[in-house]
Amino acid sequence: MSAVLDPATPSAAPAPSGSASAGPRTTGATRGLLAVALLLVGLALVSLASLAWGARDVAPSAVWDALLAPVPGDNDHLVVRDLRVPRTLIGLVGGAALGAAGALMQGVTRNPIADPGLLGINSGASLAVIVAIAGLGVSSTSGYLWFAFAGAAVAAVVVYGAASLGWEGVTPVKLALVGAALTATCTSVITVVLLTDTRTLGEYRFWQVGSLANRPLDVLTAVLPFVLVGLVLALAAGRVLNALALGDDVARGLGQDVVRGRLLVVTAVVLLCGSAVSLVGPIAFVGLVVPHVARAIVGPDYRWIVLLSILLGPVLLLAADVVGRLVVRPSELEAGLVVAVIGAPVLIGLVRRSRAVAA
Amino acid sequence: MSIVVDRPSPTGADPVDPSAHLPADALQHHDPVSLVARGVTLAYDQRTVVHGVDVAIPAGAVTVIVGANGCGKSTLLRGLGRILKPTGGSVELGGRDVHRMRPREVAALLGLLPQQPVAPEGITVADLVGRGRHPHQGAFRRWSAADADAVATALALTDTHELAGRRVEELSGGQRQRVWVAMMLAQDPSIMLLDEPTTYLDIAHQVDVLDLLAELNEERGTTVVMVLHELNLAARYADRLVVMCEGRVLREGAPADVLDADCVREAFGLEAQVVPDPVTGSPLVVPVGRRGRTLRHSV
Repeated sequence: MSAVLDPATPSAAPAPSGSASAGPRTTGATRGLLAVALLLVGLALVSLASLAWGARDVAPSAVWDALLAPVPGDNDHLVVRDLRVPRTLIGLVGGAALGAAGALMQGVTRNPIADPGLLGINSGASLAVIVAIAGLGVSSTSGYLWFAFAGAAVAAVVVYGAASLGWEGVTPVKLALVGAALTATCTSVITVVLLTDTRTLGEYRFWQVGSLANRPLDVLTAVLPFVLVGLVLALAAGRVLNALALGDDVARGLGQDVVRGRLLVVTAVVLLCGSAVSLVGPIAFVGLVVPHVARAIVGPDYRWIVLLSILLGPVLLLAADVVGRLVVRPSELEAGLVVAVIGAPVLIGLVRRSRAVAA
Repeated sequence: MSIVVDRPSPTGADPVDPSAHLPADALQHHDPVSLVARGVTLAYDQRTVVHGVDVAIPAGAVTVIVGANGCGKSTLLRGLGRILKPTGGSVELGGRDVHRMRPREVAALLGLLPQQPVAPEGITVADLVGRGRHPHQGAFRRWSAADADAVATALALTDTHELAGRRVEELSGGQRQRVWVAMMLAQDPSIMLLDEPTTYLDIAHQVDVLDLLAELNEERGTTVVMVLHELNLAARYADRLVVMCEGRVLREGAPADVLDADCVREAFGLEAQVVPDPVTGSPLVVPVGRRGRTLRHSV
């Protein structure tokens, strides 16, 4: 938007009076509710697909039996119950956390290309996992969990603390810059460790690439409380983000405590992003694409964007995981890789469309 | 996201025009609320911009703050609006220190429009105006009938209801400014603070926005406090003029009593003649300038 304004005089103002056919607010809500309904159906479908399809051929009836009446010792039932169910649940929870975290990050930084990694959270978590592998000899996914979480939290505190230095306090620009600086620092330390330690490289690669496979369920039960609190905070933060989107001064004029509002959002991001990184590794792309899709559906109201992102995240992540299992059978492609391949064209398409509308 | 845009019907009556079933007036008529700065000192970091200013904003009147660039007039407005915390003195709203009040309490009484606010991309006029309802909503409370009525009233009062479904970025500067005023109206404050609401508008739109604010003041008793650059418009629309110079209040009072050649010289370092405005009789500042001086000498 430019500051140069249309010089039309009031009398000559073109004013092609337009209004949304059913009133803009009801339109947004109607679209939102419709989208929620469709996404719930979508979630059910990808969950079923995730249970039914994989490297091993399991008949649909066997999947059904495995869920309702499992026979001990039946290999098909074992695959469904011990591999596919945890994998699906992890995809659901991880996807929801990533989607919500992305929406919150884009809102709080007023930056459309923000993703959950922007605060340095992912790189902090990665660095902590590296330290765990290389320094402490930890080698299980449940072992990485607390390191990833701690790394994410420390990174967020460092970034938020450094960004709040100076009289004007935390601003979106400072958050993004300090986050980028921390990411660069962590990344270079990680690179140094990996270059000098091939054993760590081998273990880290599998964690880092973002796979839903071989993550034990106890990881999920450990992070679930954090995710749930994070999701509740995220939903409550919608209206705060709506106020912050108008700029700090307007937000303050509307009675929004800007500092508290940002703190609420960042807390939710740490909980969600820390959990997601622990669960599925540093997949940031879900958090980048999903809010854009949500915005394209419901417009700029963050109460809806957050809600839709929570539902869209797992749809995208599970769909990517299922596709990854099918394209190179009997081997697998990690979800983190497939997400980028699916998500990039979607993002480009959205950008092109919004340009066309703006012009 | 596409918006269905109807052409106006030949009668000009829009079928979904919110004013068609406008509630009598969904916004409250407030009792006048006082706004007083007592010895307020305001600073950015270490740099003090406003030095111990005392100003009492008369309730139900239009107060205009004028002064040279960098004199602290916008800063004073930010201080009055609770955006900037004073390093000395206090700002009292209805007799209470604004920094001891909850932000939402302040927002229910006092609205603020900064210079050149930026709307989120793709937002519609109705949605932007709806965000003015922020202080009236809770964390999980959804849109209510009272909110819808307040927005409809705000759109009608600012004559922007025909734009309700349009995107804000498609509007002209004058329309956009009306929409921001509508957002502040939907907030339903008894005092409106505006920082240079006419910036970047052509003369016709400047007068249009100021007329709108004057009407809101007259018809609803809304207290208006604004920073303006244009001295002659300030003199015409102000009930009370506050002239600032180097972080202090130089003069304060009715424009006719305050604005004279000495005042302009002291506040702006400008030689000027002050004559009666041929339309309203308010003071009209006619700068002499270097060109004026040479021309006079050549005669």
